[in-house]
Amino acid sequence: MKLALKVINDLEREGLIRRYAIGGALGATFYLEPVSTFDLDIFVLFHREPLVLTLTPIYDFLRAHGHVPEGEAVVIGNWPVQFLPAETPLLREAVEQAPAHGYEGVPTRVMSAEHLMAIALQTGRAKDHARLVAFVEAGVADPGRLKEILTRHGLSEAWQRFESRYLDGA
Amino acid sequence: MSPLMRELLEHKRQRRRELAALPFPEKVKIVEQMRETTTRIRASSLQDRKAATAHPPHEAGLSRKSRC
Repeated sequence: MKLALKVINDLEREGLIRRYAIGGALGATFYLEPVSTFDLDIFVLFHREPLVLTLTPIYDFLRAHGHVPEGEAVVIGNWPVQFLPAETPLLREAVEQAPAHGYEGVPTRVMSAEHLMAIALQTGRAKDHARLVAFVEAGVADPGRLKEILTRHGLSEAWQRFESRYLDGA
Repeated sequence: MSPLMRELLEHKRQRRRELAALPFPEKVKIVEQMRETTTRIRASSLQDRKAATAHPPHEAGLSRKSRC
């Protein structure tokens, strides 16, 4: 994964993206026990929001550097990397506020536990609910910060429904 | 719940806590191993399905009989 992160940092340095953060299952793995996944989800912000959102410049750059697209991802080293535009206000905030970390000497960013939880709640698939339960059980999130994020993004009711369905009596 | 079951569940929780406490690069290595294992299982089940389609069981049975 080290190579993939180095190449993604190159995208930022070259100005093809303004900022990125790791999300999805690998983002969750930063805080929880390892979660099985096939790709590395990279959420990206651009310098200017283009009229038509396209990942073509990213793909062109990567292809020119020998990294081939495979389905919806680009294989960098041994990792299929999926680039996802941070389109919603919640995703944009998650990328903007993602804390910096190092991965074997390579600088990177991973979305905060609270943002990953809010995104999982908003996405709302069965596996997202399972991940939310794992986050709650692990106790890695700051409850005050989570509440702020949920309120800011209109997710308070969804959280109450999740709590009553999955956490009552826990 | 029986005391044995309680003990087993507590061991599982403890193991999950230990895994969560590992450094991120170590956890990524575990994810990579899980991915390779899943890919191998998928590939082998695909091969099994292809083999079953190429040689349906009834035909395989006939060919065994004809060898006798």
